Amino acid sequence: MATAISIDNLVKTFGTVRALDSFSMHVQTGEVHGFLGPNGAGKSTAIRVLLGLLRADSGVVKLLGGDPWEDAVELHRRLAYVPGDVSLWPELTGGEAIDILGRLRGGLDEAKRARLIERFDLDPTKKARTYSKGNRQKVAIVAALASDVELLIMDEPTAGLDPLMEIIFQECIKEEQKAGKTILLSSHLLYQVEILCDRVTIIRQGTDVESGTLDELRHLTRTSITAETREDARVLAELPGIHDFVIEDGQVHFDVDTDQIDEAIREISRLGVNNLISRPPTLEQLFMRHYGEELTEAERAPEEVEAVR
Amino acid sequence: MTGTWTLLRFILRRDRVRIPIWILAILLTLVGTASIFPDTYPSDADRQARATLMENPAMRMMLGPLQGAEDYTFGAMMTSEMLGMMTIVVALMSIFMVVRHTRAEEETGRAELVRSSVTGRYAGMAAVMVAVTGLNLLIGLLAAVGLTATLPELDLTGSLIFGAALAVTGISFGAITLVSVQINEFSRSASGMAVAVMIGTYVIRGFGDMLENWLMWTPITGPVFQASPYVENQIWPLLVPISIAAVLVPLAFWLSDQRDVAAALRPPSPGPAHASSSLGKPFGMVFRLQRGSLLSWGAGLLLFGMAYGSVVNEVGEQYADNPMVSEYFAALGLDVGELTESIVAMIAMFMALLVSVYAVGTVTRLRAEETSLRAENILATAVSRIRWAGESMVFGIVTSTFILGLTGVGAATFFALDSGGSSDFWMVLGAVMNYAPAIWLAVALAVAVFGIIPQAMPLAWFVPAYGFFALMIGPLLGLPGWLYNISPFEYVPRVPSVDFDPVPLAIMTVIALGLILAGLIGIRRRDLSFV
Repeated sequence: MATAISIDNLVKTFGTVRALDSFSMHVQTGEVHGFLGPNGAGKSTAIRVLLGLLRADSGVVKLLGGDPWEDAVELHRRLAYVPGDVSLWPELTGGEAIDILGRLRGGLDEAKRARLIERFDLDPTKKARTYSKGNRQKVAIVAALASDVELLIMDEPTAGLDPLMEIIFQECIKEEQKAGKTILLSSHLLYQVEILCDRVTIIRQGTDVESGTLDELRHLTRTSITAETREDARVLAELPGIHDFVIEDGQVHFDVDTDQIDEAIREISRLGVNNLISRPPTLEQLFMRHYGEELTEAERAPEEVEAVR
Repeated sequence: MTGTWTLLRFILRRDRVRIPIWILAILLTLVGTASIFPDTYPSDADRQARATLMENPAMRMMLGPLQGAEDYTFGAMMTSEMLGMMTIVVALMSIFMVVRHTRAEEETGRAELVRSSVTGRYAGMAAVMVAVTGLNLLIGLLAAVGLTATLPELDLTGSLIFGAALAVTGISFGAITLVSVQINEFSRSASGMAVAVMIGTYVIRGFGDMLENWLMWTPITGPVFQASPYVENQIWPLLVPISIAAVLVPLAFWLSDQRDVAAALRPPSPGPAHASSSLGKPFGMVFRLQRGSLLSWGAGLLLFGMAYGSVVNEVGEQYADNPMVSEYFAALGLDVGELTESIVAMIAMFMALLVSVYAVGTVTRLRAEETSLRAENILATAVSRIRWAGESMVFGIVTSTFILGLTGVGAATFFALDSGGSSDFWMVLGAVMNYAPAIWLAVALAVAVFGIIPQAMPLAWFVPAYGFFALMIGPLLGLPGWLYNISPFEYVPRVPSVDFDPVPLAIMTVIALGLILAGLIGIRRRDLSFV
């Protein structure tokens, strides 16, 4: 049993809106899988289909070997879910909510519960109506992590946490991974995914646009080059695969497609290099390319033209 | 107080739909009622007969004292029968308005945003008090103009005092609420406290009017009724609620200085760090979340049953030969020959309708859980949708039947004590329990709406809402028979006025089962809503 989650060509519409359009994602057992996309891309909808809260219009969805809609109750014993927007019962305390959610899943590790409450610095005696968004999120995280399950599904779990709590959350996720759990972590925060995830699926407007390990995805993207050359670097702008070309204070900045990098380096060395910095693409850039390309290029175009002139 | 004017305009902007609706609803009710008076009571005899009908302790409790009974003019009718209900309406309007613009704003954190800008500490409170005062004055003025324009018998002086009575009531409850939001940290508890003050003082005043002693002066509504529009036309009793408001508003301002933004004078108490063992077991959660509602409805309706049970005999004797009463009961399908039995049947129906409001609420709660995303937490655990919805439904059916029984026992006990016959106990209890299947049907309809057309959840209130309409307003308007027959409550045999008949009850139960089945299938099949 190597695949924990497999989604193929999933379609989900709400009225005339196609929230998911031929979406596919595969999560291997035991991996931490990053599920990246901007707000409104369909992350939560996909997760809710996985949880049997929404019914798929078409496509094949398998969760832990079962059908998420038909076998919902049985499957839910084996997973824990942290929603993106945790809503609790205002009249119950956080501690009560943790216990209820844990018990309804089929049991809770008391020692782990106590440890997690301590680590996340949560006051379990406060009524949920007095909790901030971050505290409500902690309640859901503690309830999920203290449950004895094989799969954790988390929808933007750290959205309301402060940076210190986020580090603690990352430690917890690494521990869960060592314990052999499968984790699906949706996020629009790239650094979080970079730190935690083995593989990543990127969703945009309801469709998966990229999927693979971080290294695999970097092949699809560009390297940033900053260089100071003895001769005029303007000729470089004519090369294939060069983007965002700027000359500033005698330095040339550009991004180059990874498969064109050999040609670019050859050309630049011909100009005589005083100084060269090459940066591997960050996930931010990868992300910008998928979601911000039109916007960025449109914004940068006049500036770029001017710089080249 | 810097920024009061800006905030006031902001309040009016946010309530630009609510305010006209309140004004229209209140005016239409008043003018509509006044306009049917001439047709309903064409002769002096008819009006005097109406006065005789109104002359009973339960009416004094609910509607206020009977005024001008010796010459029961249309004006006296307006004051005796409409003023009480309308004071409750304007009070609720003012309470909700003040809470919405004060505590609710602090609770959501929006007030913080406003307070951090160039606004004075009291600006928010001042703005909402100005808005509430203005709205109530406007309603009072429009009511006065509307009433005197509708019927020439409703003279201008009386109408102005009637309007003023409404206005001061609303303003006073606005001021009471302004204090309540300082004490309570949450809008629900803040409006709850204000509403409790309203009901509490109304009931104490009611006992005063029933027993005709000094308690009838209990503010706010006591002095308001004593202003006696159209009859005595006294303006000075209205100074009592105005003075109370004049004291409470500065008090609220002062109290607001004793606390932080978003905090309350009454600190929240910590709760248990662990859930009790019952939570997580079947029905544990439902019971925990709804026990407050169960308790307050149960206690309230038990008292209500006892109060009604104790006055039935007296009322029956009093109206034995009243033609108006006969007509009213005949319109409701009651046997006029047996007056006491008819009154028992009518009161049983009224109490059952109240229970059905509670019953429907146990199911509509599910929709609130769903749209607030709390249901998502539960349904992502090993709880099936059928179990989740079914627990609330079964809880609703069982507890509403229990509350119906409690009300019935209360009424039956006090009726039997009064009349001295133990067979009377069973007669009254039977008359009340007779309505159980109609309540189940109301629950079942709510389940069906929730499962099949959840977007239209307010439809679930159809059974209680239409039932009240048919019972209370139908006979006054002289509705045709088929309009009565839309309400399931109309199919319940009017025991003890007529003989018990199990057939319609059995049919209702079967329809209820069908609706429940359809609803549960719908819940199993549909998407959850995440709005």
